[in-house]
Amino acid sequence: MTGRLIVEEERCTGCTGCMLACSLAKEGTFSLSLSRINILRNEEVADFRPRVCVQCLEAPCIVVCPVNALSRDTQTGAIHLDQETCIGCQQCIDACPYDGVRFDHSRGMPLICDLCGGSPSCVEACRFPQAIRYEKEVDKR
Amino acid sequence: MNKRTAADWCVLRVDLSRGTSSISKQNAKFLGGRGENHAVLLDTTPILPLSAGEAPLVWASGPLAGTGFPGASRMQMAARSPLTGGIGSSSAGSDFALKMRLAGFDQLIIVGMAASPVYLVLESGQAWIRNAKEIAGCSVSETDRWLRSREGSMISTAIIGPAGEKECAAACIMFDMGRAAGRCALGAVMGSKNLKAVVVKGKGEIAVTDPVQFDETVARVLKKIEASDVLQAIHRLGTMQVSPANVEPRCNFQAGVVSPEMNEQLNHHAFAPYYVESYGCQGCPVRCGRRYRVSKGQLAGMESTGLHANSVTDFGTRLGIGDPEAIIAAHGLCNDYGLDIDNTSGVIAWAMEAFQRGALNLKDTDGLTLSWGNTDAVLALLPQIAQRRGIGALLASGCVHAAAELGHGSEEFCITVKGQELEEALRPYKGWALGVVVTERGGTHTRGAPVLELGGEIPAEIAGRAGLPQISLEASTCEGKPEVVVYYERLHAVLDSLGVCYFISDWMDPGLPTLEDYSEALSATCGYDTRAEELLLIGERIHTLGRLLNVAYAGFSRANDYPPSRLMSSPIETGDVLSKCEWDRLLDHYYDLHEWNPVTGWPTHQRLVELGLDGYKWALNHKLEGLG
Repeated sequence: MTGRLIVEEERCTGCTGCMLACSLAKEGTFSLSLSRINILRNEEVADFRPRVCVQCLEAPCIVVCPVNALSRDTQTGAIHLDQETCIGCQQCIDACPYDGVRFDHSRGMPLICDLCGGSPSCVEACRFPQAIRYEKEVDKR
Repeated sequence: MNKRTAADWCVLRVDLSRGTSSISKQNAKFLGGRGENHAVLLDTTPILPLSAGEAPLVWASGPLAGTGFPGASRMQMAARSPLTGGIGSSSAGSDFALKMRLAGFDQLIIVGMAASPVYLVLESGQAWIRNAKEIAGCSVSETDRWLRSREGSMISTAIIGPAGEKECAAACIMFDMGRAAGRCALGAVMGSKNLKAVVVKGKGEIAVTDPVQFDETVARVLKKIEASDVLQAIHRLGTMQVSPANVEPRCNFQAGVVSPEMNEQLNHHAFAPYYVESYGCQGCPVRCGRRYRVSKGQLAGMESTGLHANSVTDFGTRLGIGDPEAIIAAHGLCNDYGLDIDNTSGVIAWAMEAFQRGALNLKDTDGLTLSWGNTDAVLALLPQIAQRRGIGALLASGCVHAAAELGHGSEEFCITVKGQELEEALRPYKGWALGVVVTERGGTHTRGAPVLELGGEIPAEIAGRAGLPQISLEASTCEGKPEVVVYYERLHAVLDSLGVCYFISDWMDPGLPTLEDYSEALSATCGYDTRAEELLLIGERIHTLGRLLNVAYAGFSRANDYPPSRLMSSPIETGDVLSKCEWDRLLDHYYDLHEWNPVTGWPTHQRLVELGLDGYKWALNHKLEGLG
């Protein structure tokens, strides 16, 4: 295992910088809907809760996938999506206890965080409030 | 919908009278934001009367807005101001700019007026006009809740409160409830069109030219933000700790020096017990916004979002109030009624002085004692102004109109620039004073005024960037100030047009991003090869458009570039006064740097030709004919 994202909700400003950095890194565009991260928000009380993939050790998304499109990358430790195999059934989204998986309706495929190969863009974008951190070499989760 | 690029400039034109809309794709000639807004207004001839509801109200983001570039979250609004008669220009942060761009639009031109209250929804490259009768007269927070219950919670909203619907001179447009496009009565323009709100839903995407270069530029900018002591302090404490130390416009600018006791009552420590949380706009790591709540006593439950240094000036020193709870309550009420705090407290300060000097009496005010420091009276006045009730009917038009109606010498108490209430203390800071007074929008420190001067001096680096020798400039001297003001005017014109907040620039701290960084960001996002010097020139062109609009709309000239006479004639405790002779020299040099006519203060034909703006020469001719 090499790492995972740690979120401190109370530090999140809701600025969406992480979401845009994510979509830019993974999709090459700025988009809120194509970000692997989703910030649940209540504007009225400035309550912001970033939802990220926490790279569960025994990941329900991997377990539930009927076609084994999800697996653990042995190099990075992150969950990997085989886009060729995925049938877009969205069971991984329902199975995630952390609301950490989103769905790309245009391609009919889940958006799976791969930790940007060990240097997550979202963490860089959040360097000031530091609501999202990257923790390396986690043995237990 | 096709994937949009950051360089696209997609304009939505909505005609509320006919209920129609059209979309056009263009090349932005003035980057975006303020530049494009002012160009649209200058392209709209003949000039329509303010009362007709036909005159355009223009909204724009900018090419960097919504890209995740730090602080690139600004919306710019422009229309002819019903308050000053000149150009009305205002801006606000929030998530709105991002979501408007993701909805497929960069600029929104609203013409005509709806027959009954409506709101506008922008989503996936389309626009809908929807019925808002149910929320007519509702507060900003009620309206926001209603909209989110119908349109979904992931929207961004721009709303007018009762003040906008009643077309008050202090009416603002509230973005996501906590940020205001405050000045110049643009909320009243929305109200005149029966447009209660605009809702944006951000589902699309925007492509950039060079993601790798973009990431590098953003990483460098974030490091500069991290290294800035000024922004770190604002991050921790908000803007209240950067307000000028001891000189404030006390009691409608009759006095200046704030007593140590009042300073104690109103500094950021005094607000600490009421602090709830901080918040920021989209893409911004600084989060300068503050939320405060009163939990005990008579004002328990009162809450305010977005309290800044000017809130303390407005409802504190300017009205002689030394109570944080009253300031929180007044600010919160203004947000909810859709009243701009600067303009509202300005007209209340005028009324209090009129009361002090007998021009207004208890009969006029329905028994409200408008004495300095009377919190209850101020809190009672706010709904009256927003709903044009009682004495509020007089105050709702702004102090210049109110004084014209009231008479009894009350014109003397109008502390305004170009007809708009002044908020800033000017006397001890010469560059700041010049920058505030010469703005085209009627006062305000958001054009050329160097905020660094409030710290006592303008740093040597900034003097260098303004083309002066690299020596720091003391606040109290005039030397070099016009150069610095002109530099910041151009910088701000660029930032307003790119869609970036001033806080992320060398306006706040010499170490923060400069035009070189913006040039690089523009290259990475849009593929433009625009060097820093070229950006400065574009800034000059954009700034000139604002001047031209003022000439065309209101005939403003050199005479409108002077501070209120009180600041030039009556000294305060410190003896500070802005002398006419000194001001004339500042203005002469300022016009000279712009190559404007020193007699009129207008851009010359020759300069317009040199700037490639000769297509807008009609603006000068129009008024020349009118004056002739």
